[in-house]
Amino acid sequence: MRYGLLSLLLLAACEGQEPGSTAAQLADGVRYLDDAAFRRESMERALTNPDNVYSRQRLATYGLGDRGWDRLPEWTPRSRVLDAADALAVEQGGLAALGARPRPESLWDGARPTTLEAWITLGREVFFRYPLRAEPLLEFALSQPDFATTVGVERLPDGSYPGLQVMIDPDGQTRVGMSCALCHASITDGRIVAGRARRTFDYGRLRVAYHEQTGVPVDPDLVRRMKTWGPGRADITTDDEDPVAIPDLWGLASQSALTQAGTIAQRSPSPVPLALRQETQLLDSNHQRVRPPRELALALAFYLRSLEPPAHEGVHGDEIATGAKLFARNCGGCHDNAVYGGDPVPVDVVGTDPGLANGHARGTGRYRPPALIDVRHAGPYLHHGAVTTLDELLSPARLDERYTRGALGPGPVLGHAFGTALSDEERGALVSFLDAL
Amino acid sequence: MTRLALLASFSLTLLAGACNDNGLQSIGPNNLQVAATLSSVALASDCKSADEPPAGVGASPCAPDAPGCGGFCQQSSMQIDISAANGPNAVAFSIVKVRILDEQTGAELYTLTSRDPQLWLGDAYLVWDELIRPTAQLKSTYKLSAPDWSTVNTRDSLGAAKTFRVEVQVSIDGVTRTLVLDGVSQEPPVAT
Repeated sequence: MRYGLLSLLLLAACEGQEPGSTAAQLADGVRYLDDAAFRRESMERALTNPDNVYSRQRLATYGLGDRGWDRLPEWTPRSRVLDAADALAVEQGGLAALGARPRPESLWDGARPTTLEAWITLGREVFFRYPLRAEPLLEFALSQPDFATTVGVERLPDGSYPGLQVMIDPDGQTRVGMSCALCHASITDGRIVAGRARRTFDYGRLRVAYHEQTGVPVDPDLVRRMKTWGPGRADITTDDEDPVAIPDLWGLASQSALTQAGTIAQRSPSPVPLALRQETQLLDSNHQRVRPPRELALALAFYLRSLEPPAHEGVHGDEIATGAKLFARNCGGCHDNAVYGGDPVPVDVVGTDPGLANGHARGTGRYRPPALIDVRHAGPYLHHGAVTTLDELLSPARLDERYTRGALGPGPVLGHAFGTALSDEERGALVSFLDAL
Repeated sequence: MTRLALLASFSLTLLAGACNDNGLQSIGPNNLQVAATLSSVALASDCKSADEPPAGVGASPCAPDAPGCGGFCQQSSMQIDISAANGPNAVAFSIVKVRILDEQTGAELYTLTSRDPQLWLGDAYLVWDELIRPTAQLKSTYKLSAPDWSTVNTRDSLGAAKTFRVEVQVSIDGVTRTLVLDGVSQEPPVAT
């Protein structure tokens, strides 16, 4: 009631606000927190294709007030980033030893932030500490630290593991959890780059090793598929074969759609679609037994929208100027927004593997052009990570039957042929321009 | 019991019978008004030996071909929200039957069993005796057996992935009601 009144006051105060202004975003966020009908309406409006499984599940369960996911218990986890002493405990004594370590603190004290900066600060905590789930594979990896490093479960120089947590799970057990940061924070020169995909993380190889070493049975076909994933890719749907590359999280506020298949639309400069995405992701990945406080989902949305790649020295020169013109002519039709991303494009226009775009799990018939800022670090390229470098992406050689340099093995990498008709010199200029983004 | 109270009780019982499946108001012989609704259902595997916390190495086994089993065992579960009005006595709650139905045709695809009732106590689920006390606001969870997915047709005639309807028959103070949730699907290999 108190929050509802506050919401109304804020809304009243916001009339006439500039769309996308900080005040308008905060007001939208408060409305998401306090107005159940608004949440439901926002979800219905955001789902691009109401017929895929992702949408059907949400339409049947989300924002219904007296039933469905709204009635799940709200879970604020006790968790901390797994440090060197925690890791050593798991390595030497397993979960029993981890349970003997100091109990982690609650992630959130329940106080709702009031400024954008405070929301972002809380969101960073969620990014690193809210477990997507307890993850036995990481407990397994920590028992062999050298192996863990080879599959991208990496340490900082202080011995901590970004993306891993000591957590008290919803059954009250001390476990190792994984958060967003495991896949979406890389470690470069001993420092965390939050938002850059961790392309060293080889989830498939980790799972295969788990089965081989523990003898826990597994479907041989799944093993075959997992061996094809490679670092930085994983199959996240129930569709047959559509593993995707882990995406960077740059420029989310400028994109008109979320997920590589554009499953959720962001038609206004509001944090709400991303908050809906994160709320239901944290709920679903915890096997639908608990739901996150909406404040934490909103905080995560604000944080993700704030992420920017590390600054690098601007590069100028004739070649880049030429590259910019070539970009506008060859790429700018789709990559046309402030972060060089764009509106989702029909899959038959893109022409790449249609598995994800047409999939029943999250498909919309389209792929979203990714943001291209920091693209020089974003390889392998395309939604499935099939092309190793920007030069290869723009080379006609990859379209040839005899192509052997694909990230997923020999054979052509078809589709996204834009720019492949350029001369070598032009291609060099375009790559220089892209490298400068 | 006075005639008036009897009449009121009878009326409320009729009202309960007329209510929708979800959010039902169930009143049995103990005259405790109880609402129950199905919050969520996660369909994955059945980790039969997962009563103890899983260890990092050698976690609970599961069927080799079960979804969500690639690397660890993912327990199927359902969550039920229950609230009770004020009244004189606690009443018993139990699960009678859990069915997975084809969401489009209504055809029964599988019957599941439930076990290990637990209640949310602020920051964790703990064992529940399945008693509903007056004024209780309860968030419960049950482990579920898993379908033999090799026998469940998970695609429709056009090859599209199906979502399922889950129907749960519950007994509240001896009165049987059915809770329903649509849009239920198999958990993907990596839920994100």
